[in-house]
Amino acid sequence: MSADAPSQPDGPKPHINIFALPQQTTILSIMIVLVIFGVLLSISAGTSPVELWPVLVIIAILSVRGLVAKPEHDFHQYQLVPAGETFAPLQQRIHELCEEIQLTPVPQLLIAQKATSIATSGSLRRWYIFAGEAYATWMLENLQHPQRKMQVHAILLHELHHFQHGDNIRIGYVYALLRASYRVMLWALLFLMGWITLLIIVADTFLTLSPADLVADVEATIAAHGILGIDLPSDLLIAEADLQEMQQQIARTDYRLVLLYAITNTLGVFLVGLVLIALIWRKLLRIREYYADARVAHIQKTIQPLMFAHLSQQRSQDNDQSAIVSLQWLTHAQRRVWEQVPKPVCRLFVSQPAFKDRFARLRGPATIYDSGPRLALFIGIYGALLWFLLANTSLYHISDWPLHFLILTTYILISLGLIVQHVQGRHVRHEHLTITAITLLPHTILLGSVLCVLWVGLLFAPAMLADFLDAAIAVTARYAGIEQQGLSAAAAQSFVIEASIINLLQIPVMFGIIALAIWGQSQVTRRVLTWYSFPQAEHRLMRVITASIALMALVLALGVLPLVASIILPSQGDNMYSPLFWASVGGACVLGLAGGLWFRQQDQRYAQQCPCCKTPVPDTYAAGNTCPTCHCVLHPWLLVQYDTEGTR
Amino acid sequence: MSPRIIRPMRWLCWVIVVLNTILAFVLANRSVTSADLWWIIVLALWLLVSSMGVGGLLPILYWRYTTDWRAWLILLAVLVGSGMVVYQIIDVPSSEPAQIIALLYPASFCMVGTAIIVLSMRRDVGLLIGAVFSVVTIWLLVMIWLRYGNVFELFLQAMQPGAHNPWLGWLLSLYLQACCAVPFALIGFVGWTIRIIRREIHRQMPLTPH
Repeated sequence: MSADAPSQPDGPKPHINIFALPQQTTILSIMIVLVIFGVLLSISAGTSPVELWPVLVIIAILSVRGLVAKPEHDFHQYQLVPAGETFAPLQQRIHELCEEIQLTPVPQLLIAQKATSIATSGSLRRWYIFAGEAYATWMLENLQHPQRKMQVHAILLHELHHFQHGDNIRIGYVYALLRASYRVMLWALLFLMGWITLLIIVADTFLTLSPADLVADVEATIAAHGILGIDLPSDLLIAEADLQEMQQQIARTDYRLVLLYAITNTLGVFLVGLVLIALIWRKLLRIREYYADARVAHIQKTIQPLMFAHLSQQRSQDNDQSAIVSLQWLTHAQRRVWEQVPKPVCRLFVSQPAFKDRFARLRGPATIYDSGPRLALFIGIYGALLWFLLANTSLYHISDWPLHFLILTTYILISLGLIVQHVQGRHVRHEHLTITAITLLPHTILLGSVLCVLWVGLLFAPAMLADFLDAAIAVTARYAGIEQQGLSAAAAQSFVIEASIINLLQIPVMFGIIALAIWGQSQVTRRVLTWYSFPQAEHRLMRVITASIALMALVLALGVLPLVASIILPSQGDNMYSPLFWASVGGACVLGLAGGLWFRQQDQRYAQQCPCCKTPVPDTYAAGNTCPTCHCVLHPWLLVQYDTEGTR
Repeated sequence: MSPRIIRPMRWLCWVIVVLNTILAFVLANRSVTSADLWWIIVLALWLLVSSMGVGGLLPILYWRYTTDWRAWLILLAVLVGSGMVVYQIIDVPSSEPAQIIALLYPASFCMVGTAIIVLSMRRDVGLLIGAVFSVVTIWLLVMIWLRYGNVFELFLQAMQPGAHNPWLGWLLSLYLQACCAVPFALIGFVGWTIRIIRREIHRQMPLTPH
């Protein structure tokens, strides 16, 4: 029996229709884009000793360009050539399948000289399916075979659905963004380190330069020869007063802090880019495969042909470790290095899921979504990463926006992740507390480590700690390079004590807010799922749920979080006298009230009512519930039927 | 390119890298008199041009612009070499002409190191960065020329015994970098991007490999 839903008396077993739920690939893509651009915006905004906004512009341009240039990249990497007349029947079959699933434009078939399996490549307007020659020949030979042709269809449908889901655009853009971000940030890191180091060296020399002599020499040269045959007016030459001012400015600048600023702001994004591309992006690739598999199962009403096709592919790759991560394009020497990597580590970087994982996801599609501690840990690491980056780039404390951003993203991601649990009819009464606690674990460990380091410094080397805090504050508060008064040891002590109290207080506060918000949202989602007679529920009901998550996030952002911060933090107390503050809180109340009234009205109209016979139905939702009067399936669009037994 | 040519060229490049590092180290350490000023100018130019040449050649000779651990090894060598020279500058403040060379060397190596890393990863990214950097550099040089006069003359003045303007050497290295980078960077990157956009609009297939 399926893990997702109760079986029906006739026909294949029903499963959760994952295409009716918010897609995991979209959520992950948005997460990655938010991290990169959020951090880049954070380091670019406001005054800064080093102008970092060009990096943001370069990354934005390069990421779009990377998306558009994806075919060029793949053509070079996999040595792609157009499939000749020999493979015309295969191209013709692709045409026919595209018509069946209403996909335009039709992707073109290519032969890869440096790949063994089948894959897609595409940008906004150019779509290609490419396969190794042996693989394409196998498909061609089996196209007319009475049994195996379904396997070929399954494979082609799988690839076509990558285009139908927009994987080539969405995931292609994320890939281009990640590549552009970590490479450009590495460049920025090296570039700034090199040039600021040189500035440190030449700054003293610049101070001892005699501008008057230099200008006199140059004026004499100009008077004698002119520059490029043109006599320049003397006012083009820099004035002595301006030079002196320039020298004073140089004398005031602390280039070591500027260097530290440049390193902290570029290194973080570079490292995060690497982590994201190594782990989350690979996860994204694996999940998109599950979605494409699921769509084929929906169309063919069975998973048998697809699974047989994957099985034969898996067997051919079992002896080739590099193949499981689609690294066929590696050179021989690179492959030898890769083959030394232990298999468990290797699996972390796998972009193509193993056969057994594909099979498990098709038998229980809901498992595509992370659940319980796994979901919590994943979001927790994401949150800690975000906090580390944002706290690193600007001196934010609790109650400021980046931390609010962390609470809001955590709430949104957990709420979206729990939708599938509600759709399955599972109760998450206590689970949301566990999830919230685990989510905050990485954040707490990170915070605890920072506080430990501060206290060790305070107890054993207070003078060094004062210097360290001076530099840290100057860098994070963007004072780097500006003349400032140093922090005394006593001030450092009070800073550490205050930071400890505030930061330790924020953990229970964050826990309370997130847990309460998730609990409230869970109630709303469960209730919305009982709106059986809601008009066009198959198109609109999930939108209602996602809109309710967005509304709750807005209420938290505008009302709850600023209010809580002002109450618990003395430094934020002044905000309560600001009209803008109360306008924001008032706006949040109005939004919450309006949303609540609309919800109540719709609930009274559509909840617990059979859409067929309009009689009352059970008050709790469960996947596959039927009306006790007319036996009509409630929310049939949340289920899909296909056979999974034949492949056992 | 034939492997019979590639292998000796790789060796030659590595020998140049090692020689250049030793040369910069020696030059930065010695006091210079007016008698051997021209030798120093020649050696400085050799350091610049050969470093850039090697920086451009090595990625092509080894891995044709694909990511490789050897890029990191070269960067490490570059950083160690530059670090030694920088240390000498700080340590021996009296030998001014030598300072100029010592400044030229890390400056060029800094750029070459950057170019190696970026080019070894992605040619188009390297080209874009080169283009942006070059435009800014040219603009700076034009401004300096307009305000101070002929950059070459200033460089020669700075090389005179007793002069104390090593930052001008730094500017010269910028100038040489710009000269080398501009045509390559601008033509390569802009041309390539326009070609890709045209292909995208007309749904044209990329050029197939030979």
